[in-house]
Amino acid sequence: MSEWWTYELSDFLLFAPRTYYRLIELYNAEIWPGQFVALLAGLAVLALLRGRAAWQGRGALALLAAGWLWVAWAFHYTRYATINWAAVYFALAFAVQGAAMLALAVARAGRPPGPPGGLAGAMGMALALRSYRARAGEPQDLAALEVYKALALAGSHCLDQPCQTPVTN
Amino acid sequence: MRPVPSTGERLPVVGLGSWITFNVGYDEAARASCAEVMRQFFAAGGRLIDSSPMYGSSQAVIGWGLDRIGRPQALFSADKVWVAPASRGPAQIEASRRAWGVPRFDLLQVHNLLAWKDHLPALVAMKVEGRVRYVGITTSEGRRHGDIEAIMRAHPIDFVQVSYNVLDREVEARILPLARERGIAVIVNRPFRQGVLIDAVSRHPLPSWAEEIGCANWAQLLIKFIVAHPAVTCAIPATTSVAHVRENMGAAAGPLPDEAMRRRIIAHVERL
Repeated sequence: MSEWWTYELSDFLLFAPRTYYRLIELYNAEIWPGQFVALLAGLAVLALLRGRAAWQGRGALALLAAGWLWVAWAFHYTRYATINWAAVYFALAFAVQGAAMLALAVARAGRPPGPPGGLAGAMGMALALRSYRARAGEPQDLAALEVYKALALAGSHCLDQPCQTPVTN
Repeated sequence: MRPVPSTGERLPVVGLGSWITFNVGYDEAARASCAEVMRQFFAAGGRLIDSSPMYGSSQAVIGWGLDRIGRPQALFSADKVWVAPASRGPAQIEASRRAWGVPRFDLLQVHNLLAWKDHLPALVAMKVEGRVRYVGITTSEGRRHGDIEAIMRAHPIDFVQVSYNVLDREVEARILPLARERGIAVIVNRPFRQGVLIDAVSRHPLPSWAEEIGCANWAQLLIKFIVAHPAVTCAIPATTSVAHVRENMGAAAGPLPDEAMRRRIIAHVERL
């Protein structure tokens, strides 16, 4: 893109904040009561992470992979892409991550990577806090939310790195 | 009404943009609201609706809305090509045409000059073949004005679309005079700085002298400032509000500010 430095973050928002929140609202209405399934799956991941057996690590990763693949398909590709053409790429990135976690669950029996620390963690937290403010409806805050999601994809721990707390096979 | 210089066809000075406002996806309630905005737009004498494949679902929402309100014959469909490499242009234009549900576009523009060296000859060829009536180029917020000028001088375009409002007046220096000289119609985007300008001025009372040019609200004053420029063919404010589209269309009626009044509007808004 030429003269890219003349663009502001909010210039890349194709929709009004209200449209985004309506999308979330409609999505939640459509998947109801699937939220309870997600909640149970989250609790199951936490429970599995408390154990040290290989199958528990595999199970946690498989559940996370299922969550990633669901978000790729049901949110980014099917719904978000209707108002943001870039969401197709978000879906692809989520699908690749989900597939990688699934492969790791099957092949290496690792544990889910922990949250990033240091500068990456601080940047992520700052953007997350900024995006939290997006509820106020400012386009720049909503844009921060998008950047946060993109960085979360790019900045999460690489799954091919050794796990910090390896599970004995 | 203003004539398109290349044909003399007359267009209302207020059109309808769709950037952000019409990108509502499959939200039925929001789509119905957009359709109502379009209905009021046509009821008030509007014709030109502008969109782009860059605007998410806006094209599909326009097509849905046109179906809902009975496809008014007055429609002047203005869309854009926005893809690189340019070899993908014809497929994108066809997808856009299907989304709108029109037999052909009235105007096709090269969006933000993306791959314009390849797109523009293709659009001109489409015009020669009768598959589009007018061709043009667009930019926004002051970008690439040098390239815009060069294209206006060297290529047979009917329309140029630029940003222009009471605070962003860079185009007054060269592009608007050049458009008059070359007989090129001018569409003005960002008349309210994407809402920021009208939100800011609306915190202040409308000056009493606005009545002299038939303005009942700030939107009309800001639009009249733009369309009073003799080079401007139409401005394309975007809105999701039926009340706002009525206000905007009101700017097409009544007297326009003369040059002294335009300077007064600038001075007043700059002081706020």
